[in-house]
Amino acid sequence: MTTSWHVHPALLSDYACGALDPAREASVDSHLQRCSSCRAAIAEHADSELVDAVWTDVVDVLDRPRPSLVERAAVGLGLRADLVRLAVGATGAQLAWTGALIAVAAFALTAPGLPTGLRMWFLVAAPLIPVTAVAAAYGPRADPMFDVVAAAPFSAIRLLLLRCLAVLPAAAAVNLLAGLVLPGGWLIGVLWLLPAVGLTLLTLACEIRFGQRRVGAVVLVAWLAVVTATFGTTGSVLPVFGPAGQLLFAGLAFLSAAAVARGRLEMWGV
Amino acid sequence: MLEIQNVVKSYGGRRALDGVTLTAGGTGVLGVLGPNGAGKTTLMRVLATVAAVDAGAVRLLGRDPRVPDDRTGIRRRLGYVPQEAGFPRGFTAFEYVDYVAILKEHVDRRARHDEVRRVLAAVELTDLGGRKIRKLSGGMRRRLLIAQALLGRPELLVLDEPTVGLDPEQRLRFRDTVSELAQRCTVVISTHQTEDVSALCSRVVVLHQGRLLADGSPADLAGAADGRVWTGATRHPGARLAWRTAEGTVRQIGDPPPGSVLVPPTLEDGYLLLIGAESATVDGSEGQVAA
Repeated sequence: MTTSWHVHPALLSDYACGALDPAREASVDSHLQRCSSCRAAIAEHADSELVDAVWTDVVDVLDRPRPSLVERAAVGLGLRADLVRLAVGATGAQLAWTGALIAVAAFALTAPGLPTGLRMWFLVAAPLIPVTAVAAAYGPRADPMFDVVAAAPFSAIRLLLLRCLAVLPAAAAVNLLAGLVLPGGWLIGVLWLLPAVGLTLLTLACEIRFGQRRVGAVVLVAWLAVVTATFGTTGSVLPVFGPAGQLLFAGLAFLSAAAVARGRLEMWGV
Repeated sequence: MLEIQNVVKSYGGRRALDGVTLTAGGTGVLGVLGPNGAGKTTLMRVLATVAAVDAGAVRLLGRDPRVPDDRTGIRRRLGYVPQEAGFPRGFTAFEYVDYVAILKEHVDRRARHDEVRRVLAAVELTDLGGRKIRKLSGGMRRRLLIAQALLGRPELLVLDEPTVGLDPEQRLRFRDTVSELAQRCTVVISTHQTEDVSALCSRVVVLHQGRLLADGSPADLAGAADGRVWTGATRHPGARLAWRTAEGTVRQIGDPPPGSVLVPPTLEDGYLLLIGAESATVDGSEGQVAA
């Protein structure tokens, strides 16, 4: 739309330079919104660098990735936005994350209906879920971008750890909640925690050298062998989660954490 | 720039690379030509530091990819387009390239986004940055893969079958882009399409069953069939390979009989002769080739 009168070129020049008083600036502003001819004329007076910078800002806002709710929450807690994106943005991590939560939720729904003896097996299954999630979080099958990721300078083990960090708290929280709502009280909800941390860190420590799928499978089989043997000799799996067992898993977690840290340092050339 | 010596890589009991030796450097495009299953993708993955070799020596950009620090250093100066690559579900084109840019250590958000815009523009995807990848055509996705490889202006660009899925016009544009890039860096491109090699490469190597069969210019490879390509009305029993052309004549490669009408060989003739000499089998029906 074009009006019957137009802003004087000198006035337009002052407007473009920001040299007008607020009242006159508002008046020109108002006219420009209605007059395409003056909008075209002001282009000659505008600082092209400033226009380019403003345009780039606008494009950046439009193009900028839209973080998910989880990403926004993590960044809100002070974590670096780019690292959070790597941890939870990709399909592989999302699949592992979602898979772990669904597995635990399904268990929570079905376990209350089981006989008391079977509920004890919740303790056997619970520590394996984070381990499984960690093993599934990274690899050519889990991550459609694997080749592109593998050729990038960002350390693969660092990426793996980031993704594990994203999977573990959610899996642990849901697992804990499931444990608390199950008949049997809060104890069943917390007894598995140290074994879970120990087994997960052991997986992380060994997969640096041997590969996550192989290590995940070995840890799974070893864990099932221990609980089956305990059940066979005592008629219950609870001794695995007793004071001696908890102490053993705490030690395993400590040693594995040290090995993980050492592996990371070596990868970074320290 | 890149040196590999007597490289061996096996998958299960099969040798994908069997004693390959290759050096390349400076600017220009090196084409790796070979049929499906020749070991091209394995070689590209080795050059991209994604796969480690079982035996032999590899040096890329003056560094040893077996050493973690060196490997990271190579990756900082490398661009790679894998033959097959998936995309994270739900990402837009911009988000995908931005994600790879984070992996390539572009930390500053504003500078990273500028770089993402630059590479999207280089493959003419600027206007599609906000579009979901699942809504892009196969050719656009291929260009997106090429865009991520251009992040950080790599010195070594490894492109594994990059023209698959591109239509003729996109292929021309792609060749134009690669030719321009090749003025500043070393480009290694694998393909089984001789047209790409003819149009792009200053040097070509032929890989077959994990072994390097030839190394030279496209003209050298075409020249290998000099005096061994002829046309006739019917297939001659002495022809190693023969096929009926659109003009209705039978183009034949092999040892020409006396009095044959020899024709100038193309790169494809040289390539087929080389591959055919190794393993091609000729269908029993006249004028049909299975290589």
